Amino acid sequence: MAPAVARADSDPASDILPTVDVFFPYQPKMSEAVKADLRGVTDAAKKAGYPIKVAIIATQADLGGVPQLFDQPARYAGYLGPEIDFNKKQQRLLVVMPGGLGTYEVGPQASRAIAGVKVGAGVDAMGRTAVDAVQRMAKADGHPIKGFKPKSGGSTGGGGSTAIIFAVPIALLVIGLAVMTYRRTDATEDEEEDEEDLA
Amino acid sequence: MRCERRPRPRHLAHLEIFIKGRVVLIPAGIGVSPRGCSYPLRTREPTGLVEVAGGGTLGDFFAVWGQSLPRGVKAFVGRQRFRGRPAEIRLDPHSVITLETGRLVPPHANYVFPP
Repeated sequence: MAPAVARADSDPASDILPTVDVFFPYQPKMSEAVKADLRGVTDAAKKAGYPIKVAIIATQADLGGVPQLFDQPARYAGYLGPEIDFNKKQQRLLVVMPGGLGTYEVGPQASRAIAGVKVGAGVDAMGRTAVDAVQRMAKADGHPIKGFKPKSGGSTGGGGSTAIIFAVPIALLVIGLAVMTYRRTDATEDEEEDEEDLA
Repeated sequence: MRCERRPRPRHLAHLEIFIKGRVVLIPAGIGVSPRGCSYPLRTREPTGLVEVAGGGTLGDFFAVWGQSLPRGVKAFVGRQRFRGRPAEIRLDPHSVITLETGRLVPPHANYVFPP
């Protein structure tokens, strides 16, 4: 048994990320298309001179022994980063949780580039948010990613989901009002007809 | 223990090992044969999660792994020090086991298992 250098353990991402670039959540399962995009964007970022690891944390189970850090992406990034840097000069890390993004060793420009990014709802949207964030950070750091296009759909963070969240209730409301108006009109006409009949 | 091809229901236990304050990564693939069968104790990822079919002990797991339990190891189940022989610790559902030598790394209070 060869001990690896690490300060702590028991969060699964710290065991997975030393050998791969992306930690995927246990449950719910992320679609294979979004997983492929995440692997693709981290590969492309590496080729562009911007190697970065990504941890998608969807539930407390993805944190194992440190569930108290759930939805504290900045704190968890600060916890996980030193676990996986293995004394490297710079081990960039992006953490995505439902409540936001956290980073480690990415530098101020990259941090600013994702300051306004909202995390989409659901694991696939979280993955797309990460794809978008990696591209933004690499570009801001002077390493624009070329030759990569996400295949799983839009990569605009939570924009698409947010639109759906707002648009669907409004559409339902409009339909509901239209139905009510139609029924009232219909009822009024019936009443008028009845009145006519009575007359 | 036999390497079996038929799938069996399994529960999870978590094992962490620290040698002189440094973590030992428990590899994926312990108890998994390239011939397509699995032992009742196996790992499928390097996170310390041990998949247990039926039951087993820490000694059984190390036997499947092909490793010896570290000498002079201190064992914890949850945060409680285990005073017996570490090899006899049972891998019960959701048990959290920490083995340490040298400088003490405080075991975590709990572990949230995947569904």
